[in-house]
Amino acid sequence: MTVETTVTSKSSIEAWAAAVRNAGGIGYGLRKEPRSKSLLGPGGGKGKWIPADCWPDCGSKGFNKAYVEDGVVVRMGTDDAIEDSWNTPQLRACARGQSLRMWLLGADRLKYPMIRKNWEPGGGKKELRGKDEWVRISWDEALDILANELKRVKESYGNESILAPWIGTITARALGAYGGFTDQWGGHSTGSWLPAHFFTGFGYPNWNDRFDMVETKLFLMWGTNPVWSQAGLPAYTYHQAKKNGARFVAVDPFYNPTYEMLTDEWLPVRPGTDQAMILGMIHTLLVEDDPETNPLIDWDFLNRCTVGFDRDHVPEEADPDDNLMDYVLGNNDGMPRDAEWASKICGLPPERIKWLARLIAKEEHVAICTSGGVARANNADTLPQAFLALAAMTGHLGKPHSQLGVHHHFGTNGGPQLVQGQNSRSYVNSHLRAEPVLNPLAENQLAGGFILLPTKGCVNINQIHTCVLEGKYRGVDGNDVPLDVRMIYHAHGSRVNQLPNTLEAIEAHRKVEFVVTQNMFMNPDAIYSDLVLPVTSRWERDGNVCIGYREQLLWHSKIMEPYFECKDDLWIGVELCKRLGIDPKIVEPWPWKQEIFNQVADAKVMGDDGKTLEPLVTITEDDLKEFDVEGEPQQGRITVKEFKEKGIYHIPREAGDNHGFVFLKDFRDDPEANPLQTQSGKLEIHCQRLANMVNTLGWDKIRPIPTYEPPVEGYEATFSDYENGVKGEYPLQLYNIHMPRRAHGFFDNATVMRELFPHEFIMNPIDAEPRNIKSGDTVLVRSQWGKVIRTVWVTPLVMPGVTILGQGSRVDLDEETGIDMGGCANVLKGSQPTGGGHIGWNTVIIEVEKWTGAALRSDVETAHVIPLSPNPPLEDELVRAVRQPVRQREQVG
Amino acid sequence: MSVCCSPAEPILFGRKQILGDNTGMEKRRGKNMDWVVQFEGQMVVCGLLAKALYGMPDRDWLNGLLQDRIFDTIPLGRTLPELTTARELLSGWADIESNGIDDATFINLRDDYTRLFVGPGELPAPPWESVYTNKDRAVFQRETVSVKNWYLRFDLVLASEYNEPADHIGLEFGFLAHLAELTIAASDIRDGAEVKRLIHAQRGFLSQHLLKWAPRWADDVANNARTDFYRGLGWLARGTVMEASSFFDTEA
Repeated sequence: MTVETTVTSKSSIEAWAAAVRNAGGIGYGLRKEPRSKSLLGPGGGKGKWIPADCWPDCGSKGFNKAYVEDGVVVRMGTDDAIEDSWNTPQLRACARGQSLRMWLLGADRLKYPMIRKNWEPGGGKKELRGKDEWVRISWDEALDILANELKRVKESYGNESILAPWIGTITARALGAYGGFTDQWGGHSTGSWLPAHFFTGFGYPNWNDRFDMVETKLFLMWGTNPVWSQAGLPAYTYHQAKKNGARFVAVDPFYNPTYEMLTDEWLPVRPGTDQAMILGMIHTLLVEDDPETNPLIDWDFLNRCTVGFDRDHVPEEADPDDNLMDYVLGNNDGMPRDAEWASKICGLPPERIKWLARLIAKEEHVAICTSGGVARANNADTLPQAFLALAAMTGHLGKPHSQLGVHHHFGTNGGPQLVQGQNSRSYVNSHLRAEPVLNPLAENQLAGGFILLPTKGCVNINQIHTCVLEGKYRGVDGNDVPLDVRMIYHAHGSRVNQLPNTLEAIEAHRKVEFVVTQNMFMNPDAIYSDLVLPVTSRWERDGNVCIGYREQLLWHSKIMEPYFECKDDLWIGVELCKRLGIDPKIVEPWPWKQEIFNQVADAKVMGDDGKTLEPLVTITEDDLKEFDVEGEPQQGRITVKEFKEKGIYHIPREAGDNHGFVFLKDFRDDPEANPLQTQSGKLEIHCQRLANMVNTLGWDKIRPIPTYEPPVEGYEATFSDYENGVKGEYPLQLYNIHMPRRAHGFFDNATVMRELFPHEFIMNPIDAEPRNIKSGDTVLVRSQWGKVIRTVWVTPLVMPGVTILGQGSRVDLDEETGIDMGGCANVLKGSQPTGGGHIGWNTVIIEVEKWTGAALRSDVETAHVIPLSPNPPLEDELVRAVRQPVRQREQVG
Repeated sequence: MSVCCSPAEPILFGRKQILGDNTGMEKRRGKNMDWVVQFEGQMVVCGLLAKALYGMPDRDWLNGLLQDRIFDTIPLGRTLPELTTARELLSGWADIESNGIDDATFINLRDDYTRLFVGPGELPAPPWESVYTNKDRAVFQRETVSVKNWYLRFDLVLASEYNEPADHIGLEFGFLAHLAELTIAASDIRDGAEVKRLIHAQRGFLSQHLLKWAPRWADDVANNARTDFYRGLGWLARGTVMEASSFFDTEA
């Protein structure tokens, strides 16, 4: 027993008392509050439900509410106020939404403004970014540093040297008014569909109304997994169709949970080869079609409504050889793109390709449902035109119960919005009625808006980090433009982790003079910054109004006071304006509370006639007083208080109502009277504008018709000698899917999501066995761009030759080995742009081997909240001694 | 660069003589040595832990501690092994820094505090109770409200202008110091019922809160701190809680 007794000396206690006295007295950090008893909360069981926003951009929408007791959120709920029915389905929350509470109240959120320890104006040991220590500073200090750096960089190098890629429209208002900044262009999720939506006439959103859709007889699910990526109503709608007897066929390298729920057949196809398969299907139909004896092709629609399918229907002034039919049949080059040709590329047996082509051609009502995923492949620029051609020739465009539905954003439910409000899924949105602030360096686009197409002064998303390192980027005319980036400004996004080539991104961040990130979390952007500014979540602001899918309007309220010292983006923008000599009203023209009330007052719902929009809420003079806002009384369907309390409005639906919609039906019925916004006014299988865009950028040359070119880092690249079947250094393909744990980078740090959903490397037993890899092993995955360590799941659910690593996991770089321990898929992906500058995430080639180094810590252990240590690391004897009651110990003493 | 922290707002209890008047201390000690020593010890040690743990290191204040050589002894009646370790670490640190804290030492302390308790990101020893006791390991939980309500029942609120959790380790120690102070004051005027109520409160707060997590938190500090100062404070926190709970015969 080592317990000892000492007699406290008088001098000791007096010295300690003096120390406490010098600290300002007893109870440091607390103060007297005479009215304290009145502040006692009502206690457990007396809280209330408040509608709670979920804004991470998975592209779906659930309704969440938070039960708040004594100011803390104790549990989550969802849309349970209405009876659930097909006519009016509940907008239920998914697992991610239900984890909001744990995510937003995690101990790992940013709490205080912090500056990197070794930072000084000009950089200060820039190579230490990501490794350095941090120093807590006040908001005043932080904002002064930021404003001074903006001034310094602007005055020394010009506004161009401030790179602020997609920072949202709040902070960007300050930067726009300060002379502008270098922004990015290009879409992330939509792949090569994005330019196609603009140029081919096949717009977006492009689904039929869900009441139409559930009558469809055959669904071709092509590279899509809404059960994981966009949980909520999309899968529910499919399920209704299945209950109605629809048949489902899946085309995908991975037999995912959506297919498990729905499909009758799975056709495994290699990533980046979908276009070859479609061409093989088109070939099959062309050679087998006979208008008299075996009609497989909808020539009427092709001839009336499309251009480019055959020689007789190429646009005027176009090369007549540029038609799909001649290309597919090989009439000009002697190389038919038949099922056998396609099979060698895509991996599906020729008979199955032919079978599928015949199946969808013969079935009257088919929905081809696909996503951006198939188009997130290098050189996939004309894939959308191939899909269009397939859907058009099989007669499934512009007809009831038939469609080509692309992307599950906003649900499997097309047509004019039946409720109108902000589409605010992104993290940062600003005042709707305010005067727009433009970015003078970006052809006067909205400052911080989502710039989709090539725009002067903006850098393609693939090149965001390359341009920093190389000092140039590809201009809209195809010529390189010099750019001297001295400062990177991040807000709300995740560029380091979520754009290709994360290791390059880190290098770029270590090159510039200043990096600032405003975020809720220490995400990789913040890790590689000099200054981090903690921002509030939407739960800590005065609410938000946004649409659900087509039929729901949501009003979320403030849930809790700001977390620690977090401030919202508006406040930061205002403070920045003050320091930069800009009118703060530019950022915050009126208080956010007023803005949200305006949005509620402006919210519209569709009348029963399906044509007339009417106000949603009734507002009285008393309401204006009570809400303490300005406005006018108005008459609507429900009271403003009811909307505020419930937080959700569903527009009533029933079969046969006036809200039905079939995409492109008017066009199909009368293309001359309803021309599309294309050069030809028709659907463009031959699309010159798209080809011009790609060919002008100059990364590749493409034809205006859908052709298959072996993509950079595609299947063919896994061979050193493709013709003779000799595999190369990176013999496996990597498929980059959305995982249930997170929505892009969001939620990934929530411990509960890490416990629920693994982030594994997935491969087929046929590939695992020769490498002596078993499920649960740790593997090293390497590409020419980087290395990642993961636990492996060996399963036949992924086709041989293809491996999977989900997107969004945070990079956790081991600086000594250069290996990412966090499983960030972008460490394996190169940033070389192809074609129209979309991101080819699904064309990556890799090799994998068993990892023999130190064991990988589980993701749950590395979640940013500490797991509890089960036992205090004390010797048992000591523990017992300490825990003995005082009387026994006195006897010992 | 200056370091910001929450303002030190002293609680002016109107019984300042307990801390401020040494003769009063001596008088009381003559009457009921053991009893008073226990609460005085708890008051000053918890009071010091509050200042040392709730905010960033305060250079002037630390220099005062070094000058007074306060870590030569720890004024708690019975010394536990943890307290011996704490004293060794803290007095060893004080010996090295006896000439006052220079810039490099101060930066080390600041960085250590920042890494352990401030962030950004992963914290080796998050200083909030709910992170250790709540099933979701989050902040601003029911445990936080419970602690806030303890303060409110004794007319106290957080001094910070920001929304911070009430269950910060430093604030909980400050509260315990406050209860000890109230006990001494009640004892001074022979208010037996009040003393009883306060002892009951200390037993309750220890068993419902500090004892449930402070030992594990202190281990995390002791295992992760880079400076002997914070390592020593970890052991001091652990020993203080164990000592108090022994005195009050309390179990978590």
